[in-house]
Amino acid sequence: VEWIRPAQGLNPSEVKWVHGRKAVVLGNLAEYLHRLELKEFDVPSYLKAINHSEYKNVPSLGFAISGGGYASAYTGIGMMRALDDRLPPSVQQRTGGLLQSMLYQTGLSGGSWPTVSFLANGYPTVDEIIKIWKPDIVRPAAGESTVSAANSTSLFYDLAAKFKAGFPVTTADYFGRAWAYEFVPGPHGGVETTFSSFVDIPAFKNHQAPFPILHFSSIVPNDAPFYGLQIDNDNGTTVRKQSS
Amino acid sequence: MPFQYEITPYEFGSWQGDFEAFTPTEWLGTELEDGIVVNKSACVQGFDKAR
Repeated sequence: VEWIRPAQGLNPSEVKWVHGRKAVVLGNLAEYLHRLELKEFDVPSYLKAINHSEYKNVPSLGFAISGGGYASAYTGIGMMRALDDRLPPSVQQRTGGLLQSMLYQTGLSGGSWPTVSFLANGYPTVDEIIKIWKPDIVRPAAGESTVSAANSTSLFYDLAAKFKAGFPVTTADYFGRAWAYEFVPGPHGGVETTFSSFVDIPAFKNHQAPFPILHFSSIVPNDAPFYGLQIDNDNGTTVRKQSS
Repeated sequence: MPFQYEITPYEFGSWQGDFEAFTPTEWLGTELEDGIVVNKSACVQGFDKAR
């Protein structure tokens, strides 16, 4: 295990995965472009031009879903729905197929919900996933523990387990556990599901989904409180440095 | 300005500031000192719950 990798270039496992995904993207992009029947763009020549040099010239497309709770999660998946070639109206509108051509999918806060949930559920369609999600439940205040929600006692037991294992516990843990019942499949709100285990999910292994990146920020001393809790207020930018 | 972080199924870390480094997501929570595991028999797995 390389415990600390300096931030120079991408993770070697990611580089390898991206190579596999680009092969899949090339096929999907070819289907998409052929469907468009473009008159002033030579699709066969373009595809020929990007189908060499280890897929180096296959475009690295990605999309991001912003933070903003359910509003951003649902707005984001509305976009995913429009770009998905599994939905006939999206194909008809000539946007369906771009989702299948994406290399990366990133999310922050509410935008991380779909980023995690689609892969955790095997990358279903949007119409399928909205049947799994249950946004009508008020999660921090659920009355009883069910397979779809946990009450606060159950959530605090989860937090206690983390604390007893020697880790600090924060409000984010409480919300994380509560919303895991919404977005992560598996018993007890998917408590055994880890992000690193996504590498074993067939949709990831077979490069059938974009590579997921979750983005987050940190609290700094001047951040203003919101209902008594400090919230990260500043915007930021991440530049993923290619190795030179 | 706060630093921005990212996590992928492979690694967690930041491209910025004092950190400019990544550590494997699978082993998050494992205590390191100077980039070396403090206690090899106390490596942590399962810290990276998917939410």
